[in-house]
Amino acid sequence: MQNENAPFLEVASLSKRFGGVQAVLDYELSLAPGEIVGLIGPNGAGKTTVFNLLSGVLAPTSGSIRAGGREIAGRGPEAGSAAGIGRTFQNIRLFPALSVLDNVRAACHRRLGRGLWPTLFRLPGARASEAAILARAREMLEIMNLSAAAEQPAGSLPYGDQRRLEIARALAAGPTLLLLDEPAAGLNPGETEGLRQAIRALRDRFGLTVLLVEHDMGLVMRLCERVQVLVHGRLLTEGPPAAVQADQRVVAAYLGSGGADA
Amino acid sequence: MSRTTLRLAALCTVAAGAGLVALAQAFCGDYYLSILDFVGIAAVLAVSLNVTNGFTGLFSLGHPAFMAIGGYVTALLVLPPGRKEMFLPDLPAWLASAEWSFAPALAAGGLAAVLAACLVGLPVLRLKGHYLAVATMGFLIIVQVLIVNLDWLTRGPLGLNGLAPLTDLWWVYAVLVVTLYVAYALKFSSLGRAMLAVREDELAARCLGIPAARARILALAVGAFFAGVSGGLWAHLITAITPGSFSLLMAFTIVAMVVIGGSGSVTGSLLAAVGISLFTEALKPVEESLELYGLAEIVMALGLIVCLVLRPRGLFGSEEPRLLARLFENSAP
Ligand SMILES: Nc1ncnc2c1ncn2[C@@H]1O[C@H](COP(=O)(O)OP(=O)(O)OP(=O)(O)O)[C@@H](O)[C@H]1O
Ligand SMILES: [Mg+2]
Repeated sequence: MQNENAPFLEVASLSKRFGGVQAVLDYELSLAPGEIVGLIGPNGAGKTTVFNLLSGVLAPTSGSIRAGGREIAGRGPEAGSAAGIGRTFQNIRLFPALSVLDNVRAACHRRLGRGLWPTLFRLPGARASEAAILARAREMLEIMNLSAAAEQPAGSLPYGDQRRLEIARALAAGPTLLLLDEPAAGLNPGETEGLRQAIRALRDRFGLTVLLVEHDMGLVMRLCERVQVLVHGRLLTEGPPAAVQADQRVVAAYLGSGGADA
Repeated sequence: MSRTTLRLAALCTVAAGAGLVALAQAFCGDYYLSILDFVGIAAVLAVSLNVTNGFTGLFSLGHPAFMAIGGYVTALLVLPPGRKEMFLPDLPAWLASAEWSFAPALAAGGLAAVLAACLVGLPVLRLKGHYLAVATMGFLIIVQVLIVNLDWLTRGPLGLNGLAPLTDLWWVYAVLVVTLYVAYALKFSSLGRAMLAVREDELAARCLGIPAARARILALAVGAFFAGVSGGLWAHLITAITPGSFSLLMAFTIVAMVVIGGSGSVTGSLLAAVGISLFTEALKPVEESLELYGLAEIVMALGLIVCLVLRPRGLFGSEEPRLLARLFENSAP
């Protein structure tokens, strides 16, 4: 085992180019277990691209991503998940025709599911794993306050519930690090506060590490212990929320004079 | 209802089905029996294609190719050496002298189809949507061309005729029961939910660590197995097998059953297959008296279009009756 304070995630000089667009350049990040870090920046700064790189959805042009001691850059989403990285999507991607419960149960498959033969012959191992999956899924729904909607099709949920279901589903896969891409988008202030408490509780209860992309600065300031600012794909600055908020360069970037000096 | 009662009810249903089969065998004439056989085989085909197309969203038109492979393999294994010597003098000795009984030959036919599914799946499953449909159609055509050209093995365009009429309603019923069991057991399992997740959103599923490619190959292979067995049943029902037996039209018919029933719903495929094939059989005398051949296909195509417009997810969507969920899910409430 690694020592307790060794970073879970270490990202070094990570870059991604799409044709002529340099979406991310020399991005660096080190995350200790249990940290809650914010990643902010104006539209098109490259935040979602960073998430796509970290979760293995995209292969970087160059750079390295080590999670739990394993190099995962460019190895695909399965490798990201196996290394303990879970994520949500900016434009929600649930399994809409499946029930809320089944969305979460599907996410338990990698850790708890069985193969074809135990399933078809209904071996005792398969029964036990189905029971474990159900228990875990119900627990996740409880945590995200979705138990009442368990039997509904995920696609029929109100927007705020869909966002929370995505988090419940990501949690069910048992990640060490959770990447949340604008989880408060479209939520009202009450729901946003509920979300903040839920994320805190997850960290306290499971020691979850969280990287949060969010445009709601209030949420970022109240939730994160450290904030990175990305502008035009480059890291502009990094530090405690209050310091970042006071930084004139950050203000300028958000006002649209856009990181020309970065 | 407790789970024990449910199980008992399920067993009673299967037994009652067997009772009906016994009655049909005793009292129905050959004509009606053969209709029932075709209906049962259609149900096996639709339910098994639903595992492939419905569970993982892998739109395959290749089902008849797996039937052809299973049909030829079964026929070659069952055919008495004397007839093989006449039809196919160039067979290797071990195959020429083989004279298997029906059950193992059917299983071998299914396994041959599984092998083909794995071979074709590895390159083809990278494709998506329309490309995949076209590629599986290409696979069907390749299989047909191979059958026409491998004279020494298949007797080319002539096909194999005079096969023993081994398929009766008992065989069809038994295969149907196994197919349904496998489809439901899979659907109400973690593995089945993983397959459905891949259908719903492959990228999101992969980000949760669900091995999408493996789930698809597995769904293709399970579907192919039962298609292969159906091919064997089919060949020994009409007592002949030719390269043209397993056509694109047949692929269309099975796909229509799956889509109309609700892709993802095992129950929907079953009911749609039974309904549509009974309807098609009922139309046959009409077609003959009016000399309007192909009427059934036209009506089915229209039905498919109407369904796609009015109810794009099919009659049942991905749903199953709740009782079945409780029967199969060990831990259901
Ligand atoms: N798959 C892609 N192909 C081509 N260009 C892309 C792709 N994904 C992102 N980009 C480009 O990369 C840049 C960064 O986009 P990204 O989505 O990462 O920004 P973001 O910071 O998440 O923005 P927002 O706050 O609007 O979500 C943009 O210019 C975008 O057009
Ligand atoms: Mg974004």
